[in-house]
Amino acid sequence: MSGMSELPESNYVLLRLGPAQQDRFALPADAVEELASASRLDKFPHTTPGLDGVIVRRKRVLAVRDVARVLTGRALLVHRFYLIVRRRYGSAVELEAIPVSGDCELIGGVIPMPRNGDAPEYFAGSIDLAGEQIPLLDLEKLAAAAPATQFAGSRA
Amino acid sequence: MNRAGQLQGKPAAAQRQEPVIVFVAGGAQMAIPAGALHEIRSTDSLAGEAAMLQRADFPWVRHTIERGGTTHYVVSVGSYFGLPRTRPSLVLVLRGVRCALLVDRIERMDALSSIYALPRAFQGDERQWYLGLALFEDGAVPMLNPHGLLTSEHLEKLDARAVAGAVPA
Repeated sequence: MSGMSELPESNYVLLRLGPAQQDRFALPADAVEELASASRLDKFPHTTPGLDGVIVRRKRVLAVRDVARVLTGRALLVHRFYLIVRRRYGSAVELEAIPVSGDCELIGGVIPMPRNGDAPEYFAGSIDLAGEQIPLLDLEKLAAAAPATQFAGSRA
Repeated sequence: MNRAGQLQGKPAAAQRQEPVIVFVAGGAQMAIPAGALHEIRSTDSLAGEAAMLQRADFPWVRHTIERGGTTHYVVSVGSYFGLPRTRPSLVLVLRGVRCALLVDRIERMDALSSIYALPRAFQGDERQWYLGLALFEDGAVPMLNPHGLLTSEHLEKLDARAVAGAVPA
């Protein structure tokens, strides 16, 4: 998100996590790789908060992160697509899949507004879309905000 | 078998294939390198050999078996991972570690040349539990790390309890 101050006008991808107007969020377009149709989700035991499992896409294994639970307070029961985003781990970049409920939209030439002090840390700011404020997501902070999970084997 | 490294989900260059055992525990599929197994026994056939841990604070270890003068702890894989309760029928005795796995059934044997690295987004205990992910036609299955379930701390505590008193099952 540091690019926000350097490049005030930029492109964003609008994503939907439910039917309501407030279920729309935005990500910087340069963090997005592609929109992919829903595919088989493989689940297995793990303790990392916010992850649902993995999908296999173009012979790569991608973690699937359910951001709807944090952002809307409910799980996304039906999703039609995965938004494939880039996550940075030190010098490495990995792709990750975010289930979304509908088509995503590319918004160009938008000037983002800074984060409201009361807003959660995982909102980097917002963009104005026809008078509506769409929260701009900070993926790294959003990943850290997921509620913890616990498996039996990790207790002892 | 190669453990995939730096590139996401990309296996190492093609190598010779190695057999893996795909098993089911708590309704979930997992895999383990066949070379990690010393012995596969039915729970019935082990009934006379297993000893019950009387004070098992670890609910996923209820029995021990002796192999080569060493105590192996039988880990109920479904219970360890908090999976739905099922009726395990097999014990996979592991080679080189003091651990045996209580599982529902063997699903199949397969062959893999490599396993895929766990995506870096996974940052919890699973990095210790799994060697990576095995990709089959029907999906991705975690490849169990034979050394990953019982830590040295687990073993220390279990040894202390086992000494306190094991009784025949």
